[in-house]
Amino acid sequence: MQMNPILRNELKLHARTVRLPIILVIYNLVLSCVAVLFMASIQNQYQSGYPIQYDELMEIFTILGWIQCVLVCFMVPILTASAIAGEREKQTLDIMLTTSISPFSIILGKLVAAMCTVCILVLSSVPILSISFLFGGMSWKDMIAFLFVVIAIGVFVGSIGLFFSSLVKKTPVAIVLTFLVLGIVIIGTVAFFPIANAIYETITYDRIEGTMKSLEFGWASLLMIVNPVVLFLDFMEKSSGRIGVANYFNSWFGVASSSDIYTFAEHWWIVVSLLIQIGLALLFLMGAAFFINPLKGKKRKK
Amino acid sequence: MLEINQLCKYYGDFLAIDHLNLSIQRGEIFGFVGPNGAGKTTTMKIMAGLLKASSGTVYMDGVEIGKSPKLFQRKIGYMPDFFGVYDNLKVLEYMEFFASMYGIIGKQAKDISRELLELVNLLEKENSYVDGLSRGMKQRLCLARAMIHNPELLILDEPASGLDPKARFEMKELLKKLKEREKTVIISSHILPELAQLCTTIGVMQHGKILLHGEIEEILEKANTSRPLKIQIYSEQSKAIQVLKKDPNVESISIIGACLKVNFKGKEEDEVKLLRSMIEAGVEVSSFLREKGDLEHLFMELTEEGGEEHADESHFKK
Repeated sequence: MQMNPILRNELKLHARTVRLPIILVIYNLVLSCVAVLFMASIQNQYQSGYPIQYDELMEIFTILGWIQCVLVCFMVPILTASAIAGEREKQTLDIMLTTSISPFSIILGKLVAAMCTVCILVLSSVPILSISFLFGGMSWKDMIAFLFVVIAIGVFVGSIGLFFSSLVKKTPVAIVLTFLVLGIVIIGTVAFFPIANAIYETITYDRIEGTMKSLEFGWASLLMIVNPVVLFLDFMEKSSGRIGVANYFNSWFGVASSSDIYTFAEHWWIVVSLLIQIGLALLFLMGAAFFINPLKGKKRKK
Repeated sequence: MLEINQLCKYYGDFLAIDHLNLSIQRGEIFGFVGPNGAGKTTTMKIMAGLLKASSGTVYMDGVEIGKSPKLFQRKIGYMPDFFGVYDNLKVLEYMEFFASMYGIIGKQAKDISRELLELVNLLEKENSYVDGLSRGMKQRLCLARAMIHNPELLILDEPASGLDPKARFEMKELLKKLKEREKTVIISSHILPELAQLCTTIGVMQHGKILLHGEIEEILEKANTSRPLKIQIYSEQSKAIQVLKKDPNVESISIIGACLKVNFKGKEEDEVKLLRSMIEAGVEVSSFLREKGDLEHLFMELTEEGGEEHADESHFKK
């Protein structure tokens, strides 16, 4: 089977730049520093006469994991938002579109190339992440599940970048639009309803009686199913043996622990969220392929 | 091979291609001539499947473009009026990359790439980075890239634009080699004398319409007859004008001193007859010649908007 030509070309071009090795060094240096500082603080704590808590030792995996998540959410959109717009700027997209390769293959090649860069970074950090193994409580199964979730998040945020890269002609505009949409997805889904409720409570506040009305919006918590950061939070919580994101629903949305939403979040959040985000990624990719197809749309009657 | 019927393309409300009809036969080298903004690139992009027509159809071998883009992409090689290269790739890698887009990989891709690089005189540069190539070399590399899948039809948009005289000459020689390979080629250019040497047919385009279309010999003949006769009269100018007015091929006469500029639609044998009748009428003719017409003059005349005015000329029109 032939490898996607776009992917092969991208990998070749990436390998030729000094950018990737520099990013690799900086990235692993940051992770190493975080790990060393964390362990030094534990040691200081021990030397000061405080006992070492096992839970605290496990925090290192959580901290390093979150750094990876932030990296993926920032780096992949930049890589993908510049992918198609960059080809347009180099004037190579038109030439590609006259060849036998389909628009979807071009988009897929670009996404996988961006994900390969992320995988190199994430995999290069496995030795640092493996520090958690020293303290026990972490298994290779957890590590593989972690990598899978990180890559799935990368595919989702990357597909948004590709969508806007195909939609607009300039790379900076594509990057801004991608982060705008990601901001809405990541911050908006969490903050919108609590803010709406605060506004509603202010409006309905009765000064004489000292009462106010609150919005009933437990269902709104389900909007966060498209939020990759909430997905990651749920995964990390459950990896640490906690309840997961359902635990936050009570304070954020007033969801009772006996409700169906709570039970659903407790048991099914990761699977459903992953499936929905992968489904959305597919839609974004198909949209991107549609926008770069020069023969899209209907003929005009005039 | 290629049939364009009632092709229209709107950009907003601007009509770039206006009900264009064109037919290009297999093995033809078709020259697309026209001023900037005439619609040449738009037409070529529609042919290459890079733009959707607002209305009308383009058929290749009886199949409508857009209905089976895969089939077209295999049959057409397109070279745009810009380079479209990856500076970080080596010349051979660039060729292999585009070969792989047509499913040509491995040794086959290498062999075809090398064969084409040899054709465009870039084989010795196969391991050089594209970034280091000159403008002319990049242009030749793009031409080789457009032929990587051995297309039946090559669409070349301004292949010699922006090149220095040496690079232009090399490109011209390269296009002659394509002619020998019996490829169907559509080529747009502003270098009309070179087009006249290369093309078998020519289409002059302006405002999205074809003004003139035909075989190069026919068009060059038309170009010749479009040039005026210049007759120098030694004496009896009025007698000469009388003879000229009687000739059915004379369309108008301008008098510039002792010289008569005659718009004459007749062919060479008619010119002989006219000269004979002038001499028989006793007109003393000291010189009688028709400037050789060329594509450039014809193009200028066809695309000229508003005529020239000559202050010192007397003018008779029939």
